[in-house]
Amino acid sequence: MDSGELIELGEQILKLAENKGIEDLAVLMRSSRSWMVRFANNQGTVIKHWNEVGVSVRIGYKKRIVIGTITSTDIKEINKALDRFLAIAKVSRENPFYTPLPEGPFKYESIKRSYDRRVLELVDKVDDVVETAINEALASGARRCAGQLSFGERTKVLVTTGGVRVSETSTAITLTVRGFFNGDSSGTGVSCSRTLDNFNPEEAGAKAGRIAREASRVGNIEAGKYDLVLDPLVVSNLFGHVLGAASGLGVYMKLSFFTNLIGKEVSTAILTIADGSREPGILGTTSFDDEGVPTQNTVVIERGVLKSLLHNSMTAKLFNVSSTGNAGWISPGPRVLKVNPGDYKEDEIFEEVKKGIYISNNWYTRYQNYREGTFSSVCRDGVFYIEDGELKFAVRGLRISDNFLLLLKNVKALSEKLYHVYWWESTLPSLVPYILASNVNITKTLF
Amino acid sequence: MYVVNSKFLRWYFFIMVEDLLEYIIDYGMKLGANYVEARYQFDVSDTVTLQNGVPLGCGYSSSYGISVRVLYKGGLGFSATNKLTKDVVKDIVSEALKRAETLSKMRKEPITFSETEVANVSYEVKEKEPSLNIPIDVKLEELYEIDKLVMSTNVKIPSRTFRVSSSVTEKIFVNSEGAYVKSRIPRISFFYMTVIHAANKGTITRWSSLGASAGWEQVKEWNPSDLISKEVEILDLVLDKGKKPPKEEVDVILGPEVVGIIVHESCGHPSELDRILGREGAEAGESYMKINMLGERIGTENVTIIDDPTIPKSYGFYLYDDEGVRARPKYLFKNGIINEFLLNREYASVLGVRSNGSARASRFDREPIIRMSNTYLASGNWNFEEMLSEVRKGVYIKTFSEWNICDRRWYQRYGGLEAYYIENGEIKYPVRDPFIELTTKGIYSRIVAVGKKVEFSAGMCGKGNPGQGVPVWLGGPHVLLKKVKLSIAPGR
Repeated sequence: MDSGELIELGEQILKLAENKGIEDLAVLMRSSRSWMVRFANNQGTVIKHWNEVGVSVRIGYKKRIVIGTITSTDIKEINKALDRFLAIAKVSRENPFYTPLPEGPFKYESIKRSYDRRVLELVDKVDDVVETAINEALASGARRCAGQLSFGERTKVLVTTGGVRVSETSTAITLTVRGFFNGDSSGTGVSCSRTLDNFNPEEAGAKAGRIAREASRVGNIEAGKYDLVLDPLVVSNLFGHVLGAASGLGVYMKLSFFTNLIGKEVSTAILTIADGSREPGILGTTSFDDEGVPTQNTVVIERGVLKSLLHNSMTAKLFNVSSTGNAGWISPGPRVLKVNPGDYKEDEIFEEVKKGIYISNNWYTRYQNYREGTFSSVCRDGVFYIEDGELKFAVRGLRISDNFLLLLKNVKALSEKLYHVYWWESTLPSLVPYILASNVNITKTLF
Repeated sequence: MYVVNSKFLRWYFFIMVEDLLEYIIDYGMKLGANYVEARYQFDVSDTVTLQNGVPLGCGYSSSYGISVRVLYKGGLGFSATNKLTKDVVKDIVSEALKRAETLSKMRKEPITFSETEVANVSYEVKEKEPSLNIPIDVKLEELYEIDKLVMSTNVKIPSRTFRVSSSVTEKIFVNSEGAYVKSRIPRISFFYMTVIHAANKGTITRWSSLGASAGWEQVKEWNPSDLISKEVEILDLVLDKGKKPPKEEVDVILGPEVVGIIVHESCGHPSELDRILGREGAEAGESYMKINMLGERIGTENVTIIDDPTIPKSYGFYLYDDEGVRARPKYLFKNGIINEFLLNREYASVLGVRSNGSARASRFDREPIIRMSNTYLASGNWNFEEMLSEVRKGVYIKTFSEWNICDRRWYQRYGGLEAYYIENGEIKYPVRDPFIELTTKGIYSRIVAVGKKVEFSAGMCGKGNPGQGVPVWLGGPHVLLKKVKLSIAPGR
């Protein structure tokens, strides 16, 4: 279905809802066509394709909220679904924080470089793209590769009782290449973009191969405090948790480690972190949020100070501020992690380290204490001991085991170049630098 | 969305769906596929959440659609849609074949499926009180009651979340070999998270999930208000009185919840043959196991780990997998020896054996891949008191908070939550944040005693790309580990 048909469907749903006495309604519809190629051991394992449409509604009825989703665009089925949602709302209870949907209409400015029809033409070239990435990884030192290539087009349409009628269509392409030198020596490279212009399978393959080969020279270090050079993949994962903790609802509910810290110094002054909902060409961006509020880039930590949280209408009211355009019908949240660049060249960041560790990737970040931000995260792929700025050897079985508020206070340097990253384990699209953090706790697995 | 209460419409809808499935098989074979399967899946759920006593909103979700998987010229193609018209369905069949053909050019050897018995079966789990028929206000009342009881304790709880979710999954699977499997499985789950605070002591965060293939009756059996009220009082004591864990090597008793997560992460996942052979390499990862490790020792004689989808009422319950293969218990480790892998038809074919029924798909638009179901350490013959009496100096870790493991499933860590110091066979005082950070073999070769009573907790297990969360049980009895060096949380 195209955006015109979806808007028409949205109008019909609004009329049905109005006749049923539903006061406040948002209808969010998504239609997409997408493909994914997965590969392992230098060969394809499956190609998948999706042709889908979905309808979500947020019903407000006498200060009760029901969120309903259905995968049908048949108006008769939707009508029955609305009856069901309304029946739920009627026996539910009032939400004391209830906030009506924002009154539009609003003016929206589209996100630059968010659509490229050439992305869809990749469907006939997937074997070439994957082969290019694999060959580059093998030429750079990997012996075998696994990964995925995904691409497609999505149309998103929002219609609300607040007078919102808006649609946008975007494309996306992501590639992950993991090179293996042997089972324990691996490296990951990614490339992602909304357009083909910034898509670079060669670079992703080359990084994966280079790190995989270098990770085969293994040495040993003890657990303890180290200076860490965090690859953009690691920054995306860990600082994605930091941006997630700035959700207005999590802070209001006293769940977040940012509870009671608004306006306070939470990191070193060199750090500025924003939700980059409007960064041109970056995955995850959108011109309107789920309530129809135009999006913006919101600085969350500005030169070390927790300046703003991320809000929808409800949490904005609770904090007596304006929505930042980050709805979420119940909980506001980030879309794009943007960490401002620093003034270091990448080589200079490594040169700063006397004794430390370069972590090229990580996964499985989990909390010992969510409220306090105490966590650990498993180092993945190449992890290298650094001495006097040089990578000496790879190390295994390590974890970053620390606290986010301590980590933020230990950020010492950022690279001047930013990288657009996104992959299976870092699902918040990111535009981030290399980061040097000092005195970070590293634990090591014993036999 | 189909109307749950209308029998006629349901019957009519299923006739239409079965026609479409039959059409897919015929059309795919007509286009030249070597194998075609089609799966219709319908998932309906409602969710009620109470956070800090506030009903933020209720959720109701209904999704259905059809996926097609084909083998063609040695390639594997998958395509899915929720637009159930003949035109779109025809299009997804051709798309699956085209992509399979492209894939065949990207392969050195063709993909094949192992042989299996052709199933023709319908089955369902019959719950006593269908949970989707229980009105939302009754569910909300239950959460208010829990909230009231938990807040009537003397514990300071600045943040708390309680959530109950009810769902029904219906599937119809057919393939070009003549298989037909129809199933209906209702599930119910309860999630909670509490933050407990004490002046000058900081906080403790606790979350946990209960789940079953059952109806609303299960909630009464769980009795969550009693469970959580007692738990917050105990954790308050741990927060207030907890001391640092011992630095030297000690014996450690682990509770069923901790044992469950350990066997899931370090035995279940690495036993998945698609991981072992690299298919998940770029995402969920590979495995320390190799196919020639069957028969190799990984732990003591006390370690037998089973994955069994057929346990009645279990959260990971099914009788036929999403390739139409009959499910059965799999003995992954038997008396400390690596005994069997988890298989689907593709990877069973690599070994030249038959699938053991481990293929699962979380939604209509996800491909079936190798998954766990209910994974647990089999019971031994020790009482808890007998285990305690074996310990001169040690720690009892009853529950956990943080956990993680490397993507080859070898280096892992579990952070203790409710934990106690043991001396000369007696529990002495609570301990704060003891961590176990050991290798897989390191854990299994330290298990010297296994308890009699297996207990399960529930989880959503993640794997695949795009990600698929499937319901599982994780469990085991108490176990005793010898000579463990514990680490502590940063800043303590």
